[in-house]
Amino acid sequence: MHRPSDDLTSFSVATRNLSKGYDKRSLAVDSLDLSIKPGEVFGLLGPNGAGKTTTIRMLLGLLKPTSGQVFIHGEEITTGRQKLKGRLGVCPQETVLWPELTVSEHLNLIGRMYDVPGRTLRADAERLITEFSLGEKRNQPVKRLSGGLKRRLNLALALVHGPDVIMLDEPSAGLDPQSRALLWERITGLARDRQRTIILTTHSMEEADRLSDRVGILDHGKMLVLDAPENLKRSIGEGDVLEIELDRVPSQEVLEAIRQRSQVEHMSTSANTILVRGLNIMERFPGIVGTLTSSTVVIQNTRLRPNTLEDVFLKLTGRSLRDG
Amino acid sequence: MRFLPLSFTVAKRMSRDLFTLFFAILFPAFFVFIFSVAFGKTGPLRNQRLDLAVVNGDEGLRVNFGNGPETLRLGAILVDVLESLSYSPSSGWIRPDSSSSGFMSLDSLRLSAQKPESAVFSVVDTLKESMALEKVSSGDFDAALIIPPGFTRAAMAMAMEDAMGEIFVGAMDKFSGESPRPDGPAGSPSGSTGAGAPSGGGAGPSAGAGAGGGAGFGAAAGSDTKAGAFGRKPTTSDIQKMIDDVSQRLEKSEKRSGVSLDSLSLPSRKAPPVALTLAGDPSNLGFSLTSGVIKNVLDEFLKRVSRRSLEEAKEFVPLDLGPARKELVSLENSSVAVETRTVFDYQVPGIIVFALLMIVSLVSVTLMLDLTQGHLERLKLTRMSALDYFLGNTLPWVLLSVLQLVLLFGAAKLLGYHNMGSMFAGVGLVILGSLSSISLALILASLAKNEKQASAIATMIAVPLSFLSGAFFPVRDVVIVKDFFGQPLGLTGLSPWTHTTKALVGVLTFGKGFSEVQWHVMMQIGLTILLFLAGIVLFSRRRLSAQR
Repeated sequence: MHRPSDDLTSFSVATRNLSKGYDKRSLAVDSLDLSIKPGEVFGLLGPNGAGKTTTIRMLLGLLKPTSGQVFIHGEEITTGRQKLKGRLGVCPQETVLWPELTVSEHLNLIGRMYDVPGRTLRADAERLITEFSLGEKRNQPVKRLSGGLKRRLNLALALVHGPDVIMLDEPSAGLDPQSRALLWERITGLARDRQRTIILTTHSMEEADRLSDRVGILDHGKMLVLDAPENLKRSIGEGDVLEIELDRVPSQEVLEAIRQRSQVEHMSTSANTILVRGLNIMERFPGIVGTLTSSTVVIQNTRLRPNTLEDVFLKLTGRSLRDG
Repeated sequence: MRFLPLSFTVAKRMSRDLFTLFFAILFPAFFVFIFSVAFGKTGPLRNQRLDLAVVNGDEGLRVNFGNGPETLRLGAILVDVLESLSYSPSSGWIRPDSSSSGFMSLDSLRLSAQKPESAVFSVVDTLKESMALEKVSSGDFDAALIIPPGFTRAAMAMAMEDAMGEIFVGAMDKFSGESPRPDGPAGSPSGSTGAGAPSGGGAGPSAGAGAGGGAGFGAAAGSDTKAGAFGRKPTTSDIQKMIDDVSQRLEKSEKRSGVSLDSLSLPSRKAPPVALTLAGDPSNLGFSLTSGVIKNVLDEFLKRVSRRSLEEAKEFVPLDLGPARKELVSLENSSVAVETRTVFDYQVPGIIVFALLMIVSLVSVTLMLDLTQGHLERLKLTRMSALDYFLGNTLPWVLLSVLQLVLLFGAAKLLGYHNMGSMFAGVGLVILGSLSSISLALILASLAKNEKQASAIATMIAVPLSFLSGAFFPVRDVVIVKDFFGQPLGLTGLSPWTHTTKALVGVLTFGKGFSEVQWHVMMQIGLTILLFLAGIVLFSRRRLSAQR
């Protein structure tokens, strides 16, 4: 039960102690507490199987929580779902479209199912077709569209009834760079007027970093951290990151030698890559290379970059997000 | 009204999916073509005759009804009737011929408008029973009819019982001074046409009718009925007075006609029961059809014999049979329709029901695809209610069923289907039948794990149901409730499609009105409502509510 002191109406979306277990041994989502404010873009970041989609499905009322509650605009989803439906827009992870229907017919169908009046619906559908560059394909059956166009339509369907809470479940998965750029532009546009709350699940660090006001990192159903991306990156240390890719996984002796000779404090590995973080890291680069070349490993590649959310995840879990 | 855009969407998807459209609409019509080639009149093909071997062992009966002595051989006449049984849809198939000289001439039982090329049976008279049975075993014949030696004797005994019973009833009414009642005694000829005649021979009917004559007079008349005629239970004195009255009438008749009753040689009202045997392979459709036709022919034949007997008896005992009594014994309106139909005519309504049951598979797979492809989940996110979803999916499928019926019916007519009834009534029944099928599909889509499983289960259920509904051949039912709102309810009667089939056959093939098929229609409606409610509850709980 939510705490009496909570003012749930001040949040677009809130969860209290939300848990979901598909079996008795483990929880897909474990005691999740979220408080997302109106106009906020909230990124839910985590590897595959972290519990992101399960969370979204519970937020939408499609999945019953094992325990805990979900509130949309202060109203609990289990009791007020029918009333809240018109305020929620969803872009599912998979493109869910009817292959035989055209682009226009899709928008018309979903709009009608949300009770959007005919004239408004026609205008909104036209606007969305233009915004998502679907004009040329408006009368084509969806089965003839490319994957990227289908994803755009998938997102347009989430917006056709003008919802004020939009949930985007892995919206850029499988998109080509051009479509992804268009999608990010659209999401940024939606967030610009601060009228809508956007919840975004992704396993793309870049996407979460660029689009989100706040990011929650989820792993094994638990929320590890939740803050603004800049704060999260800052929390794991100052300076840049030097990535050194080797031909094989380095031994503990090699790593210890680097640590001692180059006085490196923040060092970690991910598979056959060594990540070294610190201020003025380039000054220590020759020493590190010397240590590595004196051992039997061969350097394949090196890269210098600033901190990312992936580094945050790596620090928190000890493994790369891609290993998830 | 959110179901309307959903209905349009489902309809559009159907119309753009030619594969589904073909199976849903054209395949049943194609099925009709196949059946018409096999069983109907199409092109150079004629009605397929049923091959019947007859072993006529009837010894006949020596009688004298006042026209001189003659040997009556009802077995031979019955064989002739079977040989000349035609498909003529407009004429009656047994025509009494009052101009014939003999009591039971061949003409009096012959069919009118005979057309040998359209005969139902190809009858071969064989002498030996073993040979006939061998031919049936080898598939050369659909059935063998064995007429026992005492057939004429037993049939005439039944007829005399009926006639004497009628004489007695007339005398009773006259004696008691009451006008004849519209509802006659149980022992009247109309009651003597026991359906058990083919298997039980004369035994069944004569037992029912026979109470009317001889020693059984008192019991025959039925104590309740006669007590009603007298206003009290008749005494021995009453019965003696009645017998005297009948004797006086007979004496008057003798004087008027100049024929002495002593010179007549009337058939006895007592005869041992006989059984006609129809042998055949129950798995052979031809045997089932032969059995049905012969059962009706024999029933009608025995009615005719009784009627002729009564007409002859009236010559000697001029009973004043009032109009109500005449109607009671009349056989003019007796309905025996099998003789005017082809096998194909029976099967067209069956194919309609088969097509309706095919929809179960298509609808359940469509609903499962909605589920597995995420369409249902997307729709669940909208304001769509459960009822919107059901109606949205039901309407297009019902319309498709009607379209299917129109095409199927048109194809059947082109291929020689003789329909007698209203197409609009057929449409109504098809709408009900399609609702039953959609309801079953809802149940399957609630329980199946994926579309393959739904399709497999639907086929496993729909095909046996189509056969059990009697869509293709008569099914022997097991009665579970003897009187369910006025009719016996069998095991197959628990399926709404059984009632769809029977109502469709009644309406389309036999031209029956609503009142004649209303029991089946009401059963169909009731069972469909039950199925629909079960489907809605299951689907709502398992597919439309939040997942656990």
